[in-house]
Amino acid sequence: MRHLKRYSALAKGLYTPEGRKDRKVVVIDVRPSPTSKNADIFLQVTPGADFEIVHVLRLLIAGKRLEGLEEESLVGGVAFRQWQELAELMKACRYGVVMFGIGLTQSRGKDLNAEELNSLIIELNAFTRFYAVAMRGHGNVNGSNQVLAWQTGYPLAVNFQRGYPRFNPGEFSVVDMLRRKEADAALIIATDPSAHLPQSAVNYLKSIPTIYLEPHENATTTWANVVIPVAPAGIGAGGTFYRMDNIPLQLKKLVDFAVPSDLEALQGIKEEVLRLKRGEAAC
Amino acid sequence: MGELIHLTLKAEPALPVEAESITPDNLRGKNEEKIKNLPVWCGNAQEKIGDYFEVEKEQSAGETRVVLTGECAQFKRIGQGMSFGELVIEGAAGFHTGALMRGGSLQIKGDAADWLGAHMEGGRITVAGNAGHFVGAAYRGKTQGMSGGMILIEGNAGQMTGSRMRRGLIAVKGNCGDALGFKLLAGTIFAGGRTGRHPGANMLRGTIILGEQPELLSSFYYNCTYQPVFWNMLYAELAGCGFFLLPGGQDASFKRYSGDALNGGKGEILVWQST
Repeated sequence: MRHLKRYSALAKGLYTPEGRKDRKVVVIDVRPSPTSKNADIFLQVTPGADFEIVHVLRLLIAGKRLEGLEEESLVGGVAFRQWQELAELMKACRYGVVMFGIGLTQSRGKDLNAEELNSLIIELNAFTRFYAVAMRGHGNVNGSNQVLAWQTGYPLAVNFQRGYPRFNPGEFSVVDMLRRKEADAALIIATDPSAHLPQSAVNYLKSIPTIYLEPHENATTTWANVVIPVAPAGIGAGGTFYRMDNIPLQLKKLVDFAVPSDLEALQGIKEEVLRLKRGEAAC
Repeated sequence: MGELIHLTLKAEPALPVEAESITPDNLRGKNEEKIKNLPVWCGNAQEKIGDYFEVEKEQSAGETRVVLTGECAQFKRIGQGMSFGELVIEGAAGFHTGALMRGGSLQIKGDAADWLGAHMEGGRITVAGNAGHFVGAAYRGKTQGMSGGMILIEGNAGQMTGSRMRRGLIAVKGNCGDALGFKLLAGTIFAGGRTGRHPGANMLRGTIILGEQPELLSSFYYNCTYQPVFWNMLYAELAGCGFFLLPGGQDASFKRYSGDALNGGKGEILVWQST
């Protein structure tokens, strides 16, 4: 709701002085949601049909013939006629933004859905100004992507085992490595694997040594081998937070906590590891 | 005078080992001791082939032949970049097996994992079992995958088989996963069994031959049903290697669809018609 109010739907701008009245909001989702209630057009689609839907929109925008589709044929559970209307709407607008979330990238087709959407946006720019903005699921997911990208060139699933960064989602991504039982220890920072990973991955994590940096009590703190309480970022520790549209925001420390920040805890661990590698006695 | 090098797995490792040093190119002309000291990587530690394999070497007729005995599913990158000779894996193989291969022959008697023959440039890979995802595909961020050679799979293959392939042949007798030949640039892909969602999506050129009618995207247009001339040659060539494509043999007819209309429509999907 805050996103609708501040950025996407209700905000007033130079060319949208009336705010919401100057905008057309189309929601494509598998179920009705508070956002879909505020939409001008809501298209309830069947799950897993994202690639086909974007492909049909690309064909409509390119003005190609669509084999086997008539006005009342269903594409992703919605009448083809409605996709025709949406394609016309997209071509006719002055400034369009597609906001997509994990519903697109974590359903069947995965990264190909996002690639297809990017192709759609590229092609729409021949007609009008169009953008795609990825809506990440949690706070500052973008931050880890940004930092990994400027440090290694890759945004996620980076492996350093050979001394240089290598990137290969599916081979070096968390769920796949845990599913294949390729890790024999884990350092977990700023996430709750019990709440987010598949059960089989969590079960394997439980069987290996885990070190967990976390400010709150949650489902993972109950079983992690070592839990290091840290100050909550943005409250007990300062830092940089990346907003979903890639804007870095400086966060100041508000209150003092008796525990170290993530940075201090990691620096401490690193110094200790280096000391042990040099063969010195532990402090 | 050639060499026959036997590598026998002592015990299957618990963690994956990167063994791109195991290629006929690298093992040729080295004695057993030198082969044992060649590096492999486990985690961040550099180890030796001798830590995992018993090595035996004998002189033989013909070219260099390397035979690996044991389940090598935890060994990644075996045969990566090999350019000649014969490499036989008498069991399963791990990720990236035969990736960047330039020539020679690689035989896998068990199952192969993901990225089999990725970015392959030449040579032949045969798999007696199933293969994983991304067979002959392009690594993430690259626009062209396999650019030559042949991959023959007796079992099934996973998703994105032959995606972004530039040249060469991939033949799978069994089923394939989603996005077969995604963004195919050129080359030939054969899948004898069922295929997953949207085969040939965004293909530019190239040929995809399917044994069963798939649900095609609406950007593929039906052209005709015919007997393509090249099919006889392809069938005979692979039959010569002991790989028989379809029960209809050389006289099969196919439904031809052209697409993807979004990328010029110069690609073709041929669907076998049972007689």
